[in-house]
Amino acid sequence: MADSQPLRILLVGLGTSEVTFLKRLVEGLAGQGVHITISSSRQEVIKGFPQDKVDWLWAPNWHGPVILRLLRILFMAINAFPLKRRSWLKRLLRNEKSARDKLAAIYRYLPFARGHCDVIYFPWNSTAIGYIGLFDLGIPVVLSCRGSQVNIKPHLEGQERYVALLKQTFERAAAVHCVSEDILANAVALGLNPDKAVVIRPAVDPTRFSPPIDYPQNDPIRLITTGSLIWRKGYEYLLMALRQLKDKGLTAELQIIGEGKDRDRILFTSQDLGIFDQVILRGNLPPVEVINCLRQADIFVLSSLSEGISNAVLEAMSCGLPVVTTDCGGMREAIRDGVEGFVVPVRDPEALAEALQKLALDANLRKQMGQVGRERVIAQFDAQSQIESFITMFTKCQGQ
Amino acid sequence: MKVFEIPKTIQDSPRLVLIVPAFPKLSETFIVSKFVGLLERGWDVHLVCNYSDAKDWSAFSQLLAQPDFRERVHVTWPQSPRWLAGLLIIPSLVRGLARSPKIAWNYLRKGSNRFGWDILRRFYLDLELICLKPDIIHFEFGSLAVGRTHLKELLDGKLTVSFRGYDLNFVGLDQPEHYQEIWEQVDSCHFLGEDLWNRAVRRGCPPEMPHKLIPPAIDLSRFPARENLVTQFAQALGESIKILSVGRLEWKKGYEFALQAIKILKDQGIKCHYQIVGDGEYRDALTFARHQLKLEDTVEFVGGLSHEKVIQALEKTDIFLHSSISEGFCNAVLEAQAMAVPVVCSDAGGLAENVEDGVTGFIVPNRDVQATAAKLTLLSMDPLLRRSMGFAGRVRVESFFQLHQQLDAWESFYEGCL
Repeated sequence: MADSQPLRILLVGLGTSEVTFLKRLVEGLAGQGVHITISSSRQEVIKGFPQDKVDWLWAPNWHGPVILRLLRILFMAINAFPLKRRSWLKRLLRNEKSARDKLAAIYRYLPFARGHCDVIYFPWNSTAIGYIGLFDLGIPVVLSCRGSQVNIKPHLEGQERYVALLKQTFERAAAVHCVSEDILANAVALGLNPDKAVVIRPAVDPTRFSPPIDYPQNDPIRLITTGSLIWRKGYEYLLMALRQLKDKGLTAELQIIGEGKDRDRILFTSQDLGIFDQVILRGNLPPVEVINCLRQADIFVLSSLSEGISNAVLEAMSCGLPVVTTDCGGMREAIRDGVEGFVVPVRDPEALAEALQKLALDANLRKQMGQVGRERVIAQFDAQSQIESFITMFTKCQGQ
Repeated sequence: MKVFEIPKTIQDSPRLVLIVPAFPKLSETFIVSKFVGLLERGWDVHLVCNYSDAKDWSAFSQLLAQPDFRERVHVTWPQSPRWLAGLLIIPSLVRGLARSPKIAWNYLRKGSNRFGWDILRRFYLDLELICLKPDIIHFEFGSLAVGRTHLKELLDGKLTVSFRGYDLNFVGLDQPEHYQEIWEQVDSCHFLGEDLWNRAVRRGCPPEMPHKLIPPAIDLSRFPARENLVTQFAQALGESIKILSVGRLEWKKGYEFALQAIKILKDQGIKCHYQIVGDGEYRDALTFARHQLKLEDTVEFVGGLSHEKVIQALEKTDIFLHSSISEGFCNAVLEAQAMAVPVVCSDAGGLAENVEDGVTGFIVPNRDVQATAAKLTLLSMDPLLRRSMGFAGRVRVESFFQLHQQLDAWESFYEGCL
């Protein structure tokens, strides 16, 4: 940033859990001189970031006994003194009816009653909705649409209020970031004005996610996938495909990295289909080990029913793996059928098995598709241009 | 209301104690039917559970008619909070030793050699059984018996176990030894069907284990008589076909495959309306599947319904669809047959024993969307076939799956043990 005044961003809703891609984004922005304040209940959230660039704003969770909550309010009030945005707070309170709701609103918004920033950034739709009062501050707001919050949740039952609030946040935001063209289309269908939308695809660090020196020669062939063990990942269909491969005389091994409530389901189904020995549930692994596992695998497979755009696939491509993916979300924007891998319809185990078979039987094809994939990631999904696009988006909003 | 009198012989008849987690439960009416049925046949039945809610009693007319039976249901002392259970150990010893001094003393004597001080905790957990002096202890679900086979030695009674599906299909899958103690200690096992027996053998049960296959049963008195069943025969051609599923919204019911099959039907131009009765945690996944497959106008999630409403829904439907991935035996499919509705179901678990393929409905391979759609199409096009298969289903239930037949089987099961 050449300007004398650095861009100041308030990031709301990073949470306390480690979300790798958001951490990288914050690091990247800070590296370009952007000043970032992260609101969170715990200070740990800014651990590991450059201290002069990244601040912490204490915004405690609504938990614990009432007396503790009241004490926290007192501390927050002291922190936020002299409450420059008193009229804003008052207006927010007027909108709430019951005493409890008023208290909850104070609790929620008091941390934001002072401090300066040029742009407020919500990395999730849900937090933008949760902190919708911040749209009234007169500061431009940017929010991100990443996946299930725009392409699954609005289509579930009883979500009328959620959809209405989603539309409100779209209307009032200065800019809306979408992780893929597909997510953009979904958001537009929900009422987003396309002029506000900016598609910035996720980025991968190709030096961290680098291919192995020698391509593995696994026998049996090793498939790998990473992702929570949840229905959205469509593992049932993947296991069916694995069974079909076995029927064709091709016994492949499948490693699944991730944890989740569908663990029992995967155990049952692999037992039921007679492929129990071929399926290895690795659980959650630290990033370094994930990279090691990717380097030792032959094919990455994504059987998802819905995605924004899968970071896991981009990381696998970066490691030089060919990819078989279902045609959902923005996956076609990362994988072209027959180029970096294969794209098959969702919920179609036959097609999945067929694509896997092609790759499993052809080491040269795997290598070639893997290399094309890596080149593509380096050219189109690199961190540098991602960060620049974010800064451009934020800077434009700042002027509004 | 008839008032049941305990026959004189009940005092001399062997004492049977059934063990369940909670009683009575709407989703486990078969326990209620068995408990009441065996008592009415003169068996000295008691029931031990961890939880019993007075409110639930009113949902069962069989129980309301027999207020005396309530004394035969025993709720175990609290296991949590732990400090409370700890405090109650001494009173439990007093009660046990006062109620059945000899048995309690033997339990402690033999058990302390084997378990040391832990016998006090076990005594506390087994207190009701010690007081009841059972001849036969029956665990109604396989998983309940794990860690409790010491009862055989310490109470000097017979142990029997029911395997009903979930226990063999899911519990302890990644621990090969999970049921080992049961295979070694138990006197006799009950399975809902051949499929579960085979699974048990695959999980280490010795093939010579005494066992009996007793399928679930239907109380036909709660269903309309055969001649009162409305036939769908008169339905005009070209009208939309009504397809129904009943069962909790869980992944293992395989509804996603059912939806894919309905999608194929719709794409073929067959007009249909598919209703799913039930609720559960998989509702979101299914609502999304319906959206993704563009079936909003064809598929309806009705939510959970009472038994009476389910029967009404069955009365109005043309085809019963059950695409389960995992199943014990499945009462819902039996009920559909009892209502003369033809069934299309997967071959999961005991379904292949439940429906007679080609006679009362069609059995298709598990997870096979194409085959499911093909059979649905066949039935959709042929009202005569629907009618004949439906009534064959009713006849099948009347011949093999009636409550009195099941009670006969239970009696011979327990007589065989003694």
